[in-house]
Amino acid sequence: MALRMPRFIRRVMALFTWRRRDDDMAREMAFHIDALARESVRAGMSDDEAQREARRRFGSVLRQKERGHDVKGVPLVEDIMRDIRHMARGLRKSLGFTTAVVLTLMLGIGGNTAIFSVIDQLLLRPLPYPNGEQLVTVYESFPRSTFGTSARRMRNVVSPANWLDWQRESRTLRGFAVYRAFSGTLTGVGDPLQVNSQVVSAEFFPTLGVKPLLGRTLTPEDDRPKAPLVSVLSHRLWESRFGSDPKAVGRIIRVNDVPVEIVGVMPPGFRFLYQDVDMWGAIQLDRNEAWRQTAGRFVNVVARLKPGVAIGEARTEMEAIGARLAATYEFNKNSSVTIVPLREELTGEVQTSLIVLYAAVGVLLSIACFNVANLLLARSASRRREIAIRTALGAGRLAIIRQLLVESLLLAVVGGALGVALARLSLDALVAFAPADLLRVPELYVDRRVLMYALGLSVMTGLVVGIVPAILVAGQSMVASIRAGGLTVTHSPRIRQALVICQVAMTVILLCGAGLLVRTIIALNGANSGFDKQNVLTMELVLPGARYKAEQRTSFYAQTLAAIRALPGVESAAAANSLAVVGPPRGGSWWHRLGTPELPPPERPVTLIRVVTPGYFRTLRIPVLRGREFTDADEASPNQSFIVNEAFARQFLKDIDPLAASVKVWMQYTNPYLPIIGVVGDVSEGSVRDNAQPTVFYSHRQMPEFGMTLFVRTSQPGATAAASVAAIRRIDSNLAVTKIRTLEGALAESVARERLNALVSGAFALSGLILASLGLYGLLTFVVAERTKEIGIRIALGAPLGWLKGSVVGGGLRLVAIGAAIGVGAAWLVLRSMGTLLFGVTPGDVSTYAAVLGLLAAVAALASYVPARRAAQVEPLVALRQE
Amino acid sequence: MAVRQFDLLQGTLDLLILKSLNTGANHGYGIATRLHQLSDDVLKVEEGSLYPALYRLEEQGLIESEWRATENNRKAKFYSLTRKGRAAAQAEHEAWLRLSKAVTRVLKALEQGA
Repeated sequence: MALRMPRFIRRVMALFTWRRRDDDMAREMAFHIDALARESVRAGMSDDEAQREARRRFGSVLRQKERGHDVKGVPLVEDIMRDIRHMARGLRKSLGFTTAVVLTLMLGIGGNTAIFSVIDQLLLRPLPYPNGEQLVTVYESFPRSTFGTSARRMRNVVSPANWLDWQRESRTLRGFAVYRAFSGTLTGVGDPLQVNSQVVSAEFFPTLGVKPLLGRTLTPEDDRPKAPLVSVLSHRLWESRFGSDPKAVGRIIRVNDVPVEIVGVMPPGFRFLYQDVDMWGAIQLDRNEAWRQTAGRFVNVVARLKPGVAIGEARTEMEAIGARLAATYEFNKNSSVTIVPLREELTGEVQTSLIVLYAAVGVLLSIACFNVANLLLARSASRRREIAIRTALGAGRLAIIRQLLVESLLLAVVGGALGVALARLSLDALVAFAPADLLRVPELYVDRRVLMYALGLSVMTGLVVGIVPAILVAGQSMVASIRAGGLTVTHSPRIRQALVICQVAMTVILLCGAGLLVRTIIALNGANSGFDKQNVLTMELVLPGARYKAEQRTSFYAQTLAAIRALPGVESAAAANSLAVVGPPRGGSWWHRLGTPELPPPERPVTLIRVVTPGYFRTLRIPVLRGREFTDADEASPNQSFIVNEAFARQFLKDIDPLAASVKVWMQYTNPYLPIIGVVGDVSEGSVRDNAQPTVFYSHRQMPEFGMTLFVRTSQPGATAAASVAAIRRIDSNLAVTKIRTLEGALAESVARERLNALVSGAFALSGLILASLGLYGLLTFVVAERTKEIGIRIALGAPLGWLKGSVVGGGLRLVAIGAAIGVGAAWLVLRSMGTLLFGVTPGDVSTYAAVLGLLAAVAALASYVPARRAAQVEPLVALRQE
Repeated sequence: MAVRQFDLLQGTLDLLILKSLNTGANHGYGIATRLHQLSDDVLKVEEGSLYPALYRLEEQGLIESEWRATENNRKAKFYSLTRKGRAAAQAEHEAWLRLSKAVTRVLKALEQGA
């Protein structure tokens, strides 16, 4: 006896030798049948008869083989492998079906995977700091009514005095670092470069818990007032400007013309809140200064929850501390404390969008599933006869279900693999399309987590779409199927109709949602923000403080604007401290009108401050409603003045002549009462969605800002841009000119999130529409094919072709109408949650819904008409002969 | 009920196959014919049961197979007992005898009692 291998190994090996074994069995059975036949021949039968009799007596060869397999090998694995081989053959034969299913699943799974990987990287993945979930930002906060100018601005930046008190008193939080954005011009390494920085306190890096790649971070000594300036570089800046030179540490660079020593380089990918920060310096706040007397609120605070402390505990404690401080200091009256987890800080803006898009792509996937289930049903109906024969030959019901499930799983996995490729491409497109700081991640990628997700999703999809057809088919009586001859098979029409109705309903939800978002972006782009944004070029400049004293700054901007105004095509030019609408104001502060009683600080009215040069309102075509705007003559005269906007006049100077009023604003060291010389039209503040806020305009001479945004009204923005930069360089060759773009472009960028919402959801909705119409088309084509004989008879009996077409189209439109009705109802309910994403349109906007239904009706009519025409072309004779 | 019947039959068929191979190697058709003849045409071995049983026995290592020429010089797969199979045949046989004796005894007793 030969040495026998352990049974398990033999079984596993049997998986690989199945073909040989199969042949072996077939030969063995052939021998048996042959022997039976010979016996019958001996008994006097003819050869043919003997063979038939032998086969009859032998029973099903197939069954023998299948039972044989059941005994050998690892049954389930082997069966499934056989199913896969069997199926791959079948799928290759029906290429159209396979392509349709795989592409449909690719769309559904691909879109889902792409959005999931964004969600994963933004919302689910750990923050890039050790125990990052413990990090929180801490704000002062005020009741909506007493502070701030916009309803949304409840949190406020922090006074250094409060920061220091929190740090001393809190038992639940540790760290308490302050940070503040800062922008400086880096010179001495290549071309002048405008670098975004954060100035931070010594606690900053220890609180985040990130170690430098090279050198050191900031020490308490660096953070002392008047200490020598040092800087920590981002990996990106170190790479691009210092060629990754390790000797960069210790080098002296110049930032705003002040020498700064590089003391360290952070590891790649280190960031805090913003992508584009490339330098960190010490904020050097004097911790002994009486900050409540000398300054307002101007720092941000980040802290870390102590281990084991829940955020709720920290909130309770900090609110108590805030209440105590509010009771102690006049400065803190009405002030409380708000704690925001860093995660929320990072994703607050896009979270709602992402969740809505994830929901949308989920709906798209279910449309895809309905579609594929429908295709599988159609296919299994046409395969009914094959399946019935297999059943007759002894394949068990479970074996049939298994085969169909394996088929749908294989299709789903192939579709999923293509979907991952699609996701890869669309993520690149998304990063290219989204403005730098919208997503707050440097890149989006497909990694193992995402792959696992895609695989899981594919398998689930495969099971979901396969299970219903499989059970339905396997449950059919095989006798009925064979008798039906595979022609008038029951194709479970009710279920297929239900699937189409579901698809239509979900498509309607998607289309309505996308329609609302598209309406939003149209409304935002068309919103009248109070000025003429066309043909205006903007660019930003920051003057280094070391070389530019106050008067020099004013004369620099006057000289620069004069040079730009002289350029060909330029109609006018002016500057302001930031971009209109989306740029932050210079500040918000208390103000007081001469001749009225002066209130204690917490009750004083508040206004926004903007700084502009002469010609600003003319350049942006903001109407001057009363009086006049600043002129060059004002800049030369010793008499100073203010301009206010309409909102200010309306809210505060209702009953008096604004041009007769004098006001002062607590903004600088000395704040004289100045006359109001003009009232100008309102401009949206914060975003095009928002209303104007009461604003006082300073002329640049009164408040000589370092950084200004230039506005140039020109007939040829392209040429003017280059010429303007050259003109600025002629005046000072060490300045970095940044963000050169049209005002229209800048505003469009400010609504990039809304644009992204509209674009992505629109893409999903159109995919859904295509899938749903394919589903409808497929169903009707099938119905027509099945009714060929009946239609033939009707034509032969003289039924008008128009009536025939109408009956097919009508059948299709009836399903669509039911689906649409359900969809509209569901959309009405579901889309309410989109409220905050919308602008200029309500979630139940009738015209959007009507447009969606119109589009749907047109597409559905087209999808129904093609099969209807085919019905009308049926040749009666051919149809009747067909059997 | 049906299940137990099937089990009994299967066990019996295995025993009959093993015992029939005791006298020498044979192919599937030969085994079926032999059992049919020896039982005076009472036992008709379904091919649908025979081959699965053969594969199962081979799997259990009780029989082994080999392609060989028949007396008519045609290729057939011949099965023969392994040493383990021979022992199993003996054991199965004794078990069967015990069982059938027991069943017979019970039936007799019941008949007399009734």
